Amino acid sequence: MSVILVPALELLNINKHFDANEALNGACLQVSAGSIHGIIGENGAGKSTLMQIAYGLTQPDSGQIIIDGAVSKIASPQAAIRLGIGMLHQKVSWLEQLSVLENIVLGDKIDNYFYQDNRPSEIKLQLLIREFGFSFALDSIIGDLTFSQRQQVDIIRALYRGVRVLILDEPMAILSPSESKHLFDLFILLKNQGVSVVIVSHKLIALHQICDVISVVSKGQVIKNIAPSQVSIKQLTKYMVGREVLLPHPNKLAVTKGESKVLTIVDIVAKGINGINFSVYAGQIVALVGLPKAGQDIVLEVLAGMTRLSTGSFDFIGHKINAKSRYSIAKARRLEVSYVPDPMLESGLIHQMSMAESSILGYQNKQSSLFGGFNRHQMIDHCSELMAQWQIRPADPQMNSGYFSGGNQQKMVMAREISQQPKLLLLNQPTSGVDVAGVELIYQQLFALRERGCAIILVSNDLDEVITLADFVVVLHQGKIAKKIAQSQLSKQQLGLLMVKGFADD
Amino acid sequence: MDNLAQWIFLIDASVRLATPILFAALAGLLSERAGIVDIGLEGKMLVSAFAGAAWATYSGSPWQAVIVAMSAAMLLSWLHAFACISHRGDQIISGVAINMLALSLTAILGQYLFLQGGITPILNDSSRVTNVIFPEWVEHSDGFISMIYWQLLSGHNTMIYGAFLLVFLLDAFLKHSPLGQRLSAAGENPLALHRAGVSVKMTRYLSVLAGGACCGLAGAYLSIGHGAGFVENMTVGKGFIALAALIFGQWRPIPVMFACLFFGFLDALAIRMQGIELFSTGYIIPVQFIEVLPYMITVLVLAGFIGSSGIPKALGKLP
Amino acid sequence: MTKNLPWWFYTLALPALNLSLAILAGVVVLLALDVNVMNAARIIFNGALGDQSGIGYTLFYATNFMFTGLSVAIAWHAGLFNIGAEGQATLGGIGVAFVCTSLPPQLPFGLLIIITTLTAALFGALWALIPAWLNAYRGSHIVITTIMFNFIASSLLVYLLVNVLNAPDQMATVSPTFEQQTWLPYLHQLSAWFGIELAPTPLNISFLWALCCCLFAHFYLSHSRLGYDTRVLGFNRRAANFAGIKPQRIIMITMLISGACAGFVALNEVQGQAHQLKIEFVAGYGFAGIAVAIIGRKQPLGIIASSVLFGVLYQGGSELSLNIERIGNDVVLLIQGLVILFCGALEWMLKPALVKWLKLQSSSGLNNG
Repeated sequence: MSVILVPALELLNINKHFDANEALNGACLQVSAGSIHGIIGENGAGKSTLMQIAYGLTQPDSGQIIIDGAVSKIASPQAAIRLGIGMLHQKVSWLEQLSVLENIVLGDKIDNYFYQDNRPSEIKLQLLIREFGFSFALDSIIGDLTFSQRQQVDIIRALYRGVRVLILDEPMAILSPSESKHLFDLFILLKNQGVSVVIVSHKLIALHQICDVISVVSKGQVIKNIAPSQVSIKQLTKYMVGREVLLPHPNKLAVTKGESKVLTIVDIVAKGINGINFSVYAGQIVALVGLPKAGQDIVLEVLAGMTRLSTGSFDFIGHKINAKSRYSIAKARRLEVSYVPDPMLESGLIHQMSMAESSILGYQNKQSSLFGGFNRHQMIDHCSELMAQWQIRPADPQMNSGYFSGGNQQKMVMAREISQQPKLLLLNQPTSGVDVAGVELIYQQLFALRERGCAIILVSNDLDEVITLADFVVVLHQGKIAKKIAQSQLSKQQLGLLMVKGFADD
Repeated sequence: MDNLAQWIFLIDASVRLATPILFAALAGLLSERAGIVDIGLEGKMLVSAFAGAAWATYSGSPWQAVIVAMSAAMLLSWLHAFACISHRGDQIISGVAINMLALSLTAILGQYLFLQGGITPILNDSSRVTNVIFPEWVEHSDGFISMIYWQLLSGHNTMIYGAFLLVFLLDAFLKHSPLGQRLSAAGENPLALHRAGVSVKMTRYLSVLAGGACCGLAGAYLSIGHGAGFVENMTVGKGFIALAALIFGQWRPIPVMFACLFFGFLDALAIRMQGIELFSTGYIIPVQFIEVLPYMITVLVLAGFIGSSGIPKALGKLP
Repeated sequence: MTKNLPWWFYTLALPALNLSLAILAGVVVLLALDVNVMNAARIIFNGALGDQSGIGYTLFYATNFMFTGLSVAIAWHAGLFNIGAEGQATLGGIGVAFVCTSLPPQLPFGLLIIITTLTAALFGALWALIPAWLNAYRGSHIVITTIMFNFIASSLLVYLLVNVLNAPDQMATVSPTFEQQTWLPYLHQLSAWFGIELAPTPLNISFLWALCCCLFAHFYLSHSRLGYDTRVLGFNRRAANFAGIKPQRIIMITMLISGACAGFVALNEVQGQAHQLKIEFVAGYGFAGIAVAIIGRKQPLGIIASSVLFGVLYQGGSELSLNIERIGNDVVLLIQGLVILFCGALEWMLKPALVKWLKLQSSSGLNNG
């Protein structure tokens, strides 16, 4: 295998920005023909934007795409398919009531609108099935297939269309170990056929095992290309999350454990989480970390009253809540629990309403008089006050909240929830989209709140943030608690490993 | 035999009254199976009825008039597609606008062109779509077979046969043709269609336009098939009955056909039942009660009491 | 990105452009019909605003538009498209007719007005209740159910007029004329008590009630908690969940208010003007409410203005049909349709072009940060 080949796909100096945010900043990627190529990086590093550009889903601002040595323009996914680039999305989407064959030929060029002879396609597909050992029949209905089989249908469709570079987004996300093994065997087969397989994933161990090359994406650039045979998984983890903490470590208080328990969670089970136990004390910041969908969001939602728990209970300063309790987000607010939802969901503000009106969202009952009337002046004053305190720009309470930048929107949500002086504050990605100055302000406010004895539960993808803020970290893995770690024993590498594997070696 | 004659008469009337609803319901089916809500059926029917009658008046050629009627409805369909697919407009609002434009434009143009208070001149038989008389395979008599053959099967307007033929063609088209499968895919799971590399926009445009053509046939039947000229607001809600039949028939051609026949039967019954006592108890079923049955049934279907599983999953949603 | 657009882009520039386009399209149609457009505009203007009688009729029609426009707009704020104002108004008429024909005429007039107003509201609201319930608790599409209820309402009206409420001595299917004590006072009667002479027109005190309703609605939507919850629900369902708002409750309340507003059309048309129930008394006011709500930007105070605008069109349009042969009252319907098309369905058509134009302007002009 020492033949030097022209790369199957080459992305050169790709730049792309959305609004003011730089998503890619001179990213370069080379995928050799007949190789398995892993792509890793933190959330928001730009890896999915890079893949979208390769598949024609979005256009780069500048840069070149070279396929088999020829500069190409990929205007749409259709163009990408013609050029031999295929992409498997994390969520497969099929027409459930049609057969495998019907689903695959759906996109074929139509020669005759009213009748199509599928026999040539069928023969071609039968050959592929035999060659790669797929475990489904062409006439099976898609709705009857397992997820893993549907994924294989996706792969066979790509092969049927003559794919030479196959991009997969988190393909192992919901596969069982044996299914993953089967998929890896398939990747090797593909590789031997000269197809390049590009895998975007957080599953470092799997990538370490099968990839020929792993590229690390960080802050819009490919910062490293690694041959897995030469590094350990630990080093790989370090490359992925390894950068210096940007913000100075604020002087933290010693953990005031044992003074007063605010929240005790006992074996809660809900959709996506299973048997979660932990306690939070007054003046403590507890961080929940895990890979996406490991269950940390669900724990917050259960505590906020947005998701029902099926068994288990939690005790919040004397209020015991279990599956039978009439617990809702309104009730949570009456118990002085505040919740800052993930800004991605855009549910914390109403973009079409003024900032003043958004500044009472969730507390509209508190703000209105006996007969349900609002005092608009009071609302605007309240909003102006928050804007001044949190340096929200422009300081115009009458402007629609949708016109503010994402960072200022998030500051307003934080301002509103913290101004309620909660006993328990639930935060989901509190600083996502916020600039450095804003992040500092938020951290200061959180520490001030903690000093007043508020308990805080934080969910964040940013491990630096977790290490900066948390007194105590709960690592979740596939809906269960992998480990609870006290602040003094925290290390980012260990967190990364735990998140990926669910257990630590040492 | 008197009883048989009455039944034949009733069925005959049901079929005649069901045909325009059927054409319109199939039009709605084409559009909605591809994911685009079509509450403008009423308006498109009205415009095509007017265009057909007006052209038949000038040219005297019924078949030309049918083409003109179809084109007129397709023009409105294009407008609907342009607003909803190209400019992401609200499908309901667009439909309401089309209904209003149709009602007013037909009245204004009718008055302007013919100066008869919004109606077109009455057409003579040569400018209308003719009836089909079956060959003399069965002799005329009072016998059962003869009655069925001559009164039930033969002698209807050509477009009636066309409508029922279209049901089965459309059924086969949707089930078996590649284009038909793409059409349903656009309404069921546009993302899957997009992933398959097919333009959802184009597919939806084609289906909405095909729906327009079909709706044009509904209008043409009213003014130059069954009727002999255009009268202001002559559809009187048939477009909405068609929508009801579409829902009752769960967006599938053959059940939709039965729904239309049932609604046509109710219509025929309403005419028959006027002033007739029920079981000689002295109680007269109000005609209005029979008239509203299609609407009530539709509400029940929508409420999920009869089951509404056939609804295209992406109906009314943008891709 | 949309975020960088100035505030007046969506609230002024785009709607104004769309409205001009609708009017332009209307003018093109009139030109195609060989109508002298300037002359037609003069007839419309003079007919609607030229004298006291014209203004009276204009405001009389505007009253209906205010009620149905409010009905559509309030539901719209909760994200519900109520096409059923037509049927809800019909039911309001039935209620008012029942009350006016069955109440003892010696009842104090103030009490009578309260009863008829409540009845109109109640009947209209009841007709909206079933589609609302079906939408809130069974997920039925409110557009289709309200359309179906329009048809059921009109059949019900025919049935009642033929069998229950019919006037014995009349050929037409109408109810008997109500006792004069139940009639709403005309504004020209009212002003006469203060010594002001006004031309007799059907304009009656329900016009004042319509203005009050717009003010109430304004307060309700912008200054009350329920109105706040309604708008949150209409804008963003997920945020409504976050804010602890119960969607079912808001849907029910909003549709009841919406139906009640539509029911008030009966006060103006039945109790105020015709003094009897006629088959087609709603005459498309329910559907016109959609256009009124769109032009009024769904804001109650905007609806007052857009109702007057449509009142002018309606009154002027009927003058037009009297003056110009070949033109019927349908021109008004045409303009309603064009408004709904260009300002509603094609709302975003001109956006890209306008954004491009603005960008050109700002890049060639001074750097305004």
